Amino acid sequence: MGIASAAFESLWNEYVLWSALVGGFTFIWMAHHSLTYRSKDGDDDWVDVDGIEVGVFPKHNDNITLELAWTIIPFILIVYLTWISWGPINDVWADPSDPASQYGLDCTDPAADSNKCHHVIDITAQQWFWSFDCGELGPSLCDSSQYQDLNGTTVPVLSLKEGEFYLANLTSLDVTHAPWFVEFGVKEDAVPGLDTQVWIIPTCEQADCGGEEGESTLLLCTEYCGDDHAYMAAIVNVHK
Amino acid sequence: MKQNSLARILVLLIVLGLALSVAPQADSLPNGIIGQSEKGCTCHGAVPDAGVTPSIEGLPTTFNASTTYTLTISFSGGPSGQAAEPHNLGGFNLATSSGILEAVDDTVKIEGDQATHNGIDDDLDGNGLQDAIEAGGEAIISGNDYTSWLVNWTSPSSGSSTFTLAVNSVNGDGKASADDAWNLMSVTVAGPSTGAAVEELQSADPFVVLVTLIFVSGILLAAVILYTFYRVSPDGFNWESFAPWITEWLTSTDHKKVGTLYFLAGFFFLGVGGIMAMLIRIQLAVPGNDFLTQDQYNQFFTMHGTTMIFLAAMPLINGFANWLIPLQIGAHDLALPRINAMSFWLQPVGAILIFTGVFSGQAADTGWTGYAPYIVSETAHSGTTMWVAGQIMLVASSTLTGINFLTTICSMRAPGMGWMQMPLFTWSIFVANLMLFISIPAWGVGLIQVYLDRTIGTAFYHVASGGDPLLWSHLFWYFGHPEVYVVILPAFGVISEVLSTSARRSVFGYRSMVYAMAGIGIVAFIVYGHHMFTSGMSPTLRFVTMLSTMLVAVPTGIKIFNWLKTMHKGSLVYRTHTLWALGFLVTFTLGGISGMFFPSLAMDTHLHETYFVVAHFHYVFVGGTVFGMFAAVYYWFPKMSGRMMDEKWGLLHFLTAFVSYNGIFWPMHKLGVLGMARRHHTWFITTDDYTNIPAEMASWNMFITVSAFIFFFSNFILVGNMVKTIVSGEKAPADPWGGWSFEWMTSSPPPTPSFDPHNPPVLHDANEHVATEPTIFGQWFESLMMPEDETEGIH
Repeated sequence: MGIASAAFESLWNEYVLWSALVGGFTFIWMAHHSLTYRSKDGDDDWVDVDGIEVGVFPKHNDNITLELAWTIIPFILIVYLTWISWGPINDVWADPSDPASQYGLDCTDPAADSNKCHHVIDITAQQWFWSFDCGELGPSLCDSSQYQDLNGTTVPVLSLKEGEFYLANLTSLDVTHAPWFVEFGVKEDAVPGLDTQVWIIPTCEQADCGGEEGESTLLLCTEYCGDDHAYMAAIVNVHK
Repeated sequence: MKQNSLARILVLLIVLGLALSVAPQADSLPNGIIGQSEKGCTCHGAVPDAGVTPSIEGLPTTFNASTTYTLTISFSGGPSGQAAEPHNLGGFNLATSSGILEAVDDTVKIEGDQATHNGIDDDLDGNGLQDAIEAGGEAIISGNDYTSWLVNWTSPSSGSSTFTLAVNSVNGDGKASADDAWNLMSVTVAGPSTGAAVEELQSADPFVVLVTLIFVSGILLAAVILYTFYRVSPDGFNWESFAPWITEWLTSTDHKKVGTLYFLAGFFFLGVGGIMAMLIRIQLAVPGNDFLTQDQYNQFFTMHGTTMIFLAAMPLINGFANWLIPLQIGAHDLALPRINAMSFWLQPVGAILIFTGVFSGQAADTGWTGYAPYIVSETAHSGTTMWVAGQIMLVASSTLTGINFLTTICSMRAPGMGWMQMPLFTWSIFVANLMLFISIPAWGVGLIQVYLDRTIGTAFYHVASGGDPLLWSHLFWYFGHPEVYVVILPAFGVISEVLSTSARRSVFGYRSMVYAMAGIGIVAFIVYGHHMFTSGMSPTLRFVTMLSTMLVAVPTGIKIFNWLKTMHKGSLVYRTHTLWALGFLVTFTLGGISGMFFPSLAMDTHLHETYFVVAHFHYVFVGGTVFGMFAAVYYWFPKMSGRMMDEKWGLLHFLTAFVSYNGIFWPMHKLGVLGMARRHHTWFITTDDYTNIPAEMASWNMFITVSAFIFFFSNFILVGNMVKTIVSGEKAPADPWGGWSFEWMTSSPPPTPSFDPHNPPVLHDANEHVATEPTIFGQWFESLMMPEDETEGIH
């Protein structure tokens, strides 16, 4: 899998680990109890410890220590999982005006350090195609002039450079859409009448980034928008 | 067909003649006859020679679809074989109008889509002797040293196939000589006779399929009702008896009869929603499928979601609630029986409105979430208006149901039954209806706004006129997320009842079970923002929603661990409902765990709107709610029908459904992570041009489809079991499983009224010391209730 979002990868691994532990604990417990404490219908050798009788609310079967334990321990786990999820909470929506932002200043600012600044592109959604506007950026940084065939539909190709920071301004001309950069693990709604933004840091799966051709991946629409929703795609090409 | 071939050959011969005059230069020696195909060989004489006889063996009279046949190509006659050396005997070219030709060995090669002999130019000096022999070496055998060759032909799926074979018979001198000869033959083989029928089925309109199946299901339902009527009184099978019988059912306000009506409606729509799921899965079985158009697919997934949640899950839950709440709390009926009947009858009317569009091919295509502004846009189908109208009816129905159950549970409990002595199923229905009653009006407001936008031109959601599309998302999810708990909480109640009864123990931590349900009920209202993480939410809200969503795991975890502990030192009796309860624990735990991935923002930006979400909510809805309802059916059906269900059929149902269910939804997790987006009518696999889902995932999609069909059909075992039970099941005792609550006190089936309103049962408490003392919360809640003496005066 080529999910390039580092935050996704580390969180995913951590969550899968805890899922396996919690799931494993639960299922082993269940398997043990459901096999150990079984009996047959009609067996009379069970002890009615709880006073089960029709019309009688049975005796309480509780243990406050245990009940608190499985309230508090999962709560601690929840706090921990929230804690590790807190760091990357703004990864794809970081405020560009924040000087502490890892993406730095707008590259059009003369004061910007070229290694730490970001490029702004515009993405406009419409039933059922994407329009990319690279603005003043040269073709090595951003190119949206190519088109390619995708199962009989002509879709635009967005070429980006690996490792650069891009801030995409999203707009929609009709209904809500959402570009999903599948391999970067990023998506954001393009809502009509609302300006939304998403950060994109293109990465490659292969070390050489697919050579001269670059690596291509799909951009899919992930807010349902009508008939050709599935064909409202684009190809995102990443090159060195 | 023959005439057609003859005409074609004649035309070809004319073309051949013309071609000969224009381009007589083609070289067939010795490297195969290239590009000549049906024109025959032009280098060994201008016209075919009848002395050469081509032959194709191994062709069937009628071929089977996509089958590989080995053909033997040969010729006889002509000057072939007259030379001293056994080489340069002849060649061939075989063309076919359909299907694929492949070489069997090195003597044949494929040029384009035609087969020809694979020759080696072994006589470069053209003296009639192989160069290799002249050099003192061994003779080289090549494709043109034979008079017969083998070719594999893979037939197409349908239609007929015409073969054109050109052969040449040469004297072996390595040159185009005057006595070299060639000939041509053509043969047509018919395709599978079922080819046309297959074609027709593929082009059948899926809407016709759906509507037909809905009608067939309706007719089957009517047949079951009639048969039941017949069984009740075989002698009175006439209209005079039937009219009052059916009138009684259609106008009854008895909670048990209304509950049964809910079941009929719920199971019917479970089937209809299932049929749509099957059509969706056929479409998704292979990439790029065109079984459904995108227009049809969008309507199918919209109607599938709407049907399953509002017309199947909710009525099934209401069926159990109707049947059991009065029985469990010792009441003779619900507090507002006529309101109850109205709640039910709003549902079929709402359902007809929702389905109106299906019958005109213009059903709602908005998704069950009906996001704005698409829902008010011109591209949304006209049936959407009727879908909204039907949903408004369901909102009215649910609101009335909420009022009814809350009133009943608050005011009609039997003496001795305090809040903390209510059966957990009653508690679950209480919390669920409280949530529904508080949340669904918000959605009702949104629906009315959409209805006005679509009909009289208001602009609540039209962006150009200043409408706000996110308003809909808020109104919908303010209801939509609690709705998820509204349908799962009753299943929690069922599992608590079933597991404790089967384990012959009190449920572990009764009070923490109640508090956990109440906790879920409260937290449910502050988590809905996680559905909108990608819609431009503020960072602060994102954090708050992440934390609150994560918190849901705490009360849910308490419940799961309490259920497990309930089995501890118990005496677990394995009946079908026990199996479903244990199955529920497995699938609901998995669904709960996968739900923990969404509040984590950095993962949600990838997983949102993918099949990971589809997998998660089906694990919760089906593995949770539906499995819970299945457990409830096996548990309470003897009480309702007075007859015991067949345990063997039940076991078979559990095994087939549980295994196939996991086969459907477990692989979807991976598909979602790898890049399969939901609500897409087709999907893409990785090609040379771009990366997407790995190609091997196509097999998983097919696997899911096969599993889905097994799951669909496995549930007919349950339906069959229910019918069989009604017709010939053993009589059920009042308390077949050993439960404690009031429903087990009545006969099976219970009388009407369920309990004597003037002499209600009295609940005793095995915990005498704590039974009479209300908790602080209980005291506060009681203070909100109307004093006893005032309620007396209202009558």
